[in-house]
Amino acid sequence: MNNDKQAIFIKAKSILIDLFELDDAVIVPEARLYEDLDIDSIDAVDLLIDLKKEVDVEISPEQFKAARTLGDVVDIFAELS
Amino acid sequence: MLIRLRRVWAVIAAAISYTTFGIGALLLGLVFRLIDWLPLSLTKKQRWIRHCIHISCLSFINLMRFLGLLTYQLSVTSTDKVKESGCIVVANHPSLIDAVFILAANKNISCIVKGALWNNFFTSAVVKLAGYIPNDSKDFIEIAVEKLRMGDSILIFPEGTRNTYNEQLDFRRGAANIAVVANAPILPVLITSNPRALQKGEKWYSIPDGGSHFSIQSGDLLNLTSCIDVTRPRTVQYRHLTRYLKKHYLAWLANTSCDKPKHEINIPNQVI
Repeated sequence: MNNDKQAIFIKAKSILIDLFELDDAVIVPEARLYEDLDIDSIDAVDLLIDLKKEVDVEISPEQFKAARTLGDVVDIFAELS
Repeated sequence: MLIRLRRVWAVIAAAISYTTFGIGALLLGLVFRLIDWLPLSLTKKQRWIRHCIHISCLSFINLMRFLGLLTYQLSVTSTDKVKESGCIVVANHPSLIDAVFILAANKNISCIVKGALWNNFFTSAVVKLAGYIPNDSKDFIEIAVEKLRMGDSILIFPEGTRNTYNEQLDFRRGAANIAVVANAPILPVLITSNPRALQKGEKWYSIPDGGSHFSIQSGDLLNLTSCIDVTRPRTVQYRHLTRYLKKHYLAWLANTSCDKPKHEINIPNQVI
């Protein structure tokens, strides 16, 4: 992961721990949002709001919906920032 | 011989019940379409329709009792009697007819229903005209919250489907999602049957010998602030509230089985 993505990943990790009380150990790029992190579509709304506060980009819910893993989320944000 | 006759009767009685339910639902659908056509306010029409559903459900469980399929004890505070308007009724889900019992105890309540019922030939007219909410609609939380704000109460089964044993209580977060966003109180209802009947996966005609006794009771109204820390992020509240409800039900079940009179507790036969 390049530096930009790494920075985004670290911010995302902190948000995930805050919002979902997840264990540090399970938050890896390969983690699937729904199956591994138990983040459903209702949760995703709040996750997107907090991510946008940290990484100031224009991103629509539809673009965000395409993300399956944490790595996908980081990629999407990195591309748009 | 007597046992065989009883079993045959149970199957016949079950067939009568299912048929009555199907025909009843169709007839209700027709009646509701007629009511819907009347030039009355939406609220009034919906209240009539829900009242009809209530009467029908009460009649249906009485029919099942008359046919010897079950006995029941309903001790549910109707949502009309709950001071705060707009509460969420949650219940565990052991049997096929759980919703019927709760509707028999409430004159005016909305329900979160399985998406499949929305398009089912027998139930679609009823669920749509009664102002129920399909759980696969992507706005179902918003719709539910809005109804609660208008004073409607809503029934939801947090397990989402029938459990396979009482303590399973695999509560999903749907009920908590709605409760937290709407800041609405929760009226918990406990449903138990002895022996367990009309379970998931069983054949339709599989009725316990001698029928089953259903107990449906409501507990104290739960206000969010007394269950969880509402200053935490919403997503955390969803999870805490769901866990709280599961613990609440586990304790409730444990207390209830303590109340079982001795002759109802199965004691294995002593083999000499």
